[in-house]
Amino acid sequence: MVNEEKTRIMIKIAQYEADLGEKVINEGSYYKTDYVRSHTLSAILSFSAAYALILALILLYNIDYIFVNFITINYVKLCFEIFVPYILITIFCAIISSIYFNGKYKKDREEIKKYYLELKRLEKYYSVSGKETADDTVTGA
Amino acid sequence: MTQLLVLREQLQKFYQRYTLILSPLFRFFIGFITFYAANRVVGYNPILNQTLSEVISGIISMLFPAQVLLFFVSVFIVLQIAYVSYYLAITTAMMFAVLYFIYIRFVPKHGFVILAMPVLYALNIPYAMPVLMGLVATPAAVVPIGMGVVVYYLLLDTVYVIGTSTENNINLYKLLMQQLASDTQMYVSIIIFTVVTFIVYFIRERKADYAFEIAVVTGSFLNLILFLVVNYLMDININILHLLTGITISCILIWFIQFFRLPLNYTGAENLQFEDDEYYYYVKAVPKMSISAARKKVKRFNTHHNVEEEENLDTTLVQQEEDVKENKGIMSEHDFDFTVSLDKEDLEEIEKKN
Repeated sequence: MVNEEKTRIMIKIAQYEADLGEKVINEGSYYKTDYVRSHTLSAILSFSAAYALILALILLYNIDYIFVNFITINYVKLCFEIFVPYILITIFCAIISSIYFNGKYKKDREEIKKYYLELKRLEKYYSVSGKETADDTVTGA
Repeated sequence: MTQLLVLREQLQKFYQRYTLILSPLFRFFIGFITFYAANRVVGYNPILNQTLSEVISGIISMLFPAQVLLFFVSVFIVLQIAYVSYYLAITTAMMFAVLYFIYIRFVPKHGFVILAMPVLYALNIPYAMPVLMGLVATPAAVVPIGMGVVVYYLLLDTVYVIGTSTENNINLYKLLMQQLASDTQMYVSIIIFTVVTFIVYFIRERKADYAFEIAVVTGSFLNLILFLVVNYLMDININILHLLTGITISCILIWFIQFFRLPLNYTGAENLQFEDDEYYYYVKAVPKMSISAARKKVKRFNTHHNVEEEENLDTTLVQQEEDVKENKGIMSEHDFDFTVSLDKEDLEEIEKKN
């Protein structure tokens, strides 16, 4: 016999899994600091890659100038001009990312709590050994 | 309007029934259109620029998740450009990578807006996107719309540079960047689309009746007027006929999308007032338009066979079924067909006799 209540719970669980996604549910077990740090680091790496590509595009654009003035270019000044904006962008990116992922962690956490609540409700239909109880009214362990 | 609502209902039921087949079919169609549009803009490679390759690409995008389509299209475009210039292909790939690292990676849904803009440009209906985004999204959608416009003009300028330049070296990239930076039409399009998105969003947020419909029409008119004014003032060579047809088709398309998304019955709107401990509420509730298409049985009788089939028909057909049932004996013996047409005078005569 199909247990309607159990089916409803399983539908809700499936909906949460579809909405949140596997990644968000797996990250639900992270500590807040770990979650924020890992995502901030990932964002910094992304921006660093983008910055390196933009620099490469600028370099390609000015390739003629660089070849002609290869010896006369002030490399100290050039390094300064490259790295100072990079450091500033990285700091800015870290601040924005940490604020954003802090908020996201709180929001995701609330949704994951609801998901786990449904899982607990479903768990009542199963015995300690993990097998489904014959009588659905029995809550098992 | 009733017929449209019935059609909407029937389409929804049809989609629900065949969702397993229709969902991958839609993905194939979107993939096919995207690769078709890419070929129309930068169709250099003779192997890739043919219907078969578009179909195969469509099938591939049908089999993979939707996000992968963005990657496939980027690779497809880069391969097309690589056929004529490796330098431009590498720099284009680098630009796509930058776009991914700084934006699409964080807001993947906006990636589809960026992708849709060049596709819509190729189909001559880019004017639909700012109106649609104003209707369904927030003003933040101007960022992916603007990026989409830049990507389209980047491809267009790539074609221009390849067509006009005689050399094939890294200078092509320099020429491309100079061409892109001086492309007035691109800047104008970004500004106009931004204005249209904001205005459409502003109107649809109002509490006025038919706010969504007004927003669609206003957005389309605004597109037309702004492009015409800018074309007159700055002489940016916009084809007026293309502009008119594009905006008209966009307006009709968005109106249909809006109708199928959220049809509201403003004549049935109710103004409610109630209170709780902290607030007094003035609420305007607008019912959604819906009509349930009735399922009727239509029986056909003739001498050879007796077929029973089910069709979805309008409610006025219910009586016909009963009439046919009553005449079953006669109908089964004869196979004939006739039509009776009554005009006003005939009807009046019948009424008098009764």
